[in-house]
Amino acid sequence: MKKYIGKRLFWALVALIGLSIFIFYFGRIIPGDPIRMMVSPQTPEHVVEELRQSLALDRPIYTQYFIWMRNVFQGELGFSVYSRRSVTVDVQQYLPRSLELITYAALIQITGSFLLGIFAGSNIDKWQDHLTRLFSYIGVSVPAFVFAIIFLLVFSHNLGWFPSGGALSEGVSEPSRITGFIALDALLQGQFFTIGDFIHHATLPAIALAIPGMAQVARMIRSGMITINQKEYISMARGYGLPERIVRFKYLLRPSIIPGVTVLGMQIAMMLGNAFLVEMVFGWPGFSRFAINAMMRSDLNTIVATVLIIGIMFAIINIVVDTLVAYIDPRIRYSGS
Amino acid sequence: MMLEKKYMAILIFFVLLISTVALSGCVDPDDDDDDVTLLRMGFAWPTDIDPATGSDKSSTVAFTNFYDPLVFPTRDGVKPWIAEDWDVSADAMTWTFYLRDDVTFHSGNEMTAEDVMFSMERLVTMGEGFAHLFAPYIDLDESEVVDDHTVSFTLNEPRGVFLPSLVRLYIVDKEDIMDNAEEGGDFVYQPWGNDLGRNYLIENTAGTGPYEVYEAVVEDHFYGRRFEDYWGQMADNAADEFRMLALGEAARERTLFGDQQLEVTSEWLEHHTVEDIAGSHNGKLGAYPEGGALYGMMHTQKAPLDCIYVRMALAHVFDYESQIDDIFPESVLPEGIIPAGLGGASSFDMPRQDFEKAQGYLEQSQYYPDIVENPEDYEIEASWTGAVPATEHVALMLAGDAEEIGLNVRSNRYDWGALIDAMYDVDTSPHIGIVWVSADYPEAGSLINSRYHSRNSASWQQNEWLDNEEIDNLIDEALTEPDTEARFALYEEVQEKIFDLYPSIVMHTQYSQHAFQQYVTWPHAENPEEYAPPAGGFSHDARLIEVLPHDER
Repeated sequence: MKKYIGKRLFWALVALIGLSIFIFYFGRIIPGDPIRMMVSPQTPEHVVEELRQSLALDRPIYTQYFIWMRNVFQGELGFSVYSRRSVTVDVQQYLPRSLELITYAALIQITGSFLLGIFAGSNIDKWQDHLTRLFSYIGVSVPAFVFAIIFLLVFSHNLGWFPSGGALSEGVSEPSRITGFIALDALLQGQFFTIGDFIHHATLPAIALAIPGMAQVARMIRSGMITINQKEYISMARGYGLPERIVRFKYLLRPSIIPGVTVLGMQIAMMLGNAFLVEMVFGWPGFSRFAINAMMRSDLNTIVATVLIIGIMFAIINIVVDTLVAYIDPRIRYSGS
Repeated sequence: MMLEKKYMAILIFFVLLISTVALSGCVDPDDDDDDVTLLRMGFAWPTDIDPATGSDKSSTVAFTNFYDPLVFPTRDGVKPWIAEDWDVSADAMTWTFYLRDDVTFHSGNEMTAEDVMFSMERLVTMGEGFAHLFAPYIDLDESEVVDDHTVSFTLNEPRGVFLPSLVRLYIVDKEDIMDNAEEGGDFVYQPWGNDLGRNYLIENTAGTGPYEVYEAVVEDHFYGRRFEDYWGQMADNAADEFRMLALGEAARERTLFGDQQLEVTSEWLEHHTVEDIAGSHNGKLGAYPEGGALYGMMHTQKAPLDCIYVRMALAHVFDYESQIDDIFPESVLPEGIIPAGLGGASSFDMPRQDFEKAQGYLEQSQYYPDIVENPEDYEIEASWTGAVPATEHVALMLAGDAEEIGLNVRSNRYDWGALIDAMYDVDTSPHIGIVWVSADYPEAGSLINSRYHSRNSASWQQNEWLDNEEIDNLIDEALTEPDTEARFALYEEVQEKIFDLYPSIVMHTQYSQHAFQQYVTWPHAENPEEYAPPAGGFSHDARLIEVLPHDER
């Protein structure tokens, strides 16, 4: 297993370096001069050129890449022409917000998709199954931001059950920064009201983010259960008179969830990129909203940092998912190594 | 059957758990103090609160409320502000300002002439934001601090518009900035050897303004509280806190406004959305001018727009009235090429839709009749930016109207960055760029210079590429003229010359519209003709905006 994980880590690193070169190059051919977009329109040419030199944007692209790479190893992701400060500072400020939201959404997604999938798969062609399928169709076909807008208008505006945006209520101070994660910092400092307030704010955006993936994975688990249920070894297990609980959980469920786990991993990794519109609708001060706004301004360093962070998330989740799948199905591990 | 029930039970438990945990925060925070009045305004982001680097709308609003300029813009020009009085030498090269002696910075430091000089030096050295108004003309070596409350600026050439330009010289706290300046990093300014507080002023303010920032989340909001030692007058019910929020998403603004968590909506929402928000929540609607206009900037060096008759034809096919009625009801028909309200703006008999006239002009064109017989060879690209979707309607309207006389105008969408890139080069500039441009200071000279002087051709504020030496010389002459009356006469002359060349379709004089709460009194938006200074950012002046206390609403 160690060799298997080591191999996965090595290829993830190769992929990330390749990704950084690719995005560095393409980030720089996007139309829109970042310096011109940063300064006022009548800024003299010599000032524009000085700024370009300060940020090394006048150098050949490969030199820029090596300067950037050197800085990355020193923990410096470059200057953002959008926020006008170090991208590292922006990442430190906004990434924890998005990761908190995604973690909450992932918990909802994992729990919901498994429960719904098993629920439907155990009641094929009954009303429970039809209901879950209806939910899945809607969940898969409607984008997360539409759920976000509906939730905002219904549960926040009309019913007033949830706040209309932000991560904390007005007047509720953020806990002192220890990890940058509000809920965790509040927990460490015993500020339980802050935790409750934070969860209250995060619930609607988290559910909106979770639904599309939840719907897709629930469908996959349901289908997996139907397919596996028709295998001979299941009939044999039943024929041997094994208790239904053991048949379902040990022989039916385990192989049924493998495709679901893989897709779930991808869905969670994709949330960071997909969270933009949901963060926008709920005014969630997260990384996705910041990153997209920066991209619209041709903020090269933020573009590269964002893609790399999303890439790293994909790599980590891929490794976790592959390891998990290998654990669930040992055949994959053997063939992989 | 038992198992199904179990799954169902787990599902119900899961839903209840989420609901319980989520609703656990439903208690109002105890510090939502009813005695504190808030003025929360939405803005398109980003907002740069450093007066030496920012210059866009939300940044200038921040400057208005967190800083003080040397002089303040009015409907008629400028009025004393930090400078109580001033005089100018006979050659208009030396301007001496006598400063108030009762002004304190948020840090508690007393404001002196040293700070005013430093503010100018910092702006010019950094070269960004509004530096272009001063950097080419000021002689910092000859400028001096005369005494604690007198400062003298020496220019390297006469400049009549120096005084109105000073509405963009925001005074910063030298001591506070130098204490927090960073050495090293991407920006090191000489001879200072540090970043002149560039990094510090991203999240902090060092001003004397009526509000001081106490919470800054750069990508999301700036919260300011009333500065207790503010020297200036405030309205009786001026808000205790002024808050700038990054907004622009209609559903969220609607929700916040309906819940009275937003006093003023942001600027770039569609007109119908703003109207609906105000209508559904018993809000008020208001609009104010800021010295800006929407221009269809015609490239005078690109065929077929290099022919004045084609330009005249286009200026006479556009349906100005419908554009106002259907797309921008808050705005008004233009009276000249420079928005009325700016000092020295002239009125002209502006073109209105008249197909007969347009046809007549077109027939005089060197491209006629080929231009209507082979329209595919004479495609005219009307470019707009996706950042402002309403401009697409304008481009499509122009294309439809032009078709009536046989002209082939095609609407073309650009990303903002791509449009900026295109407009920096005479060869890549589109035939027509549809863009709003506003004045930096409350005089026609600001817009005439940025819109039509050839030194500013390579910018998104100009697509005409007039490159007309006579006009350049006249503009320069006007900008250097120290006598206001004489300067305005020169403005008139140059506007006539520009108008005769038909380089632009002046679509409307821009009014910015907002929905705001019933309990808010906003003089600039409710009575713009009296209160709104024609310069960006000054109408969001929280000094004069009143917010009723909670118990009086």
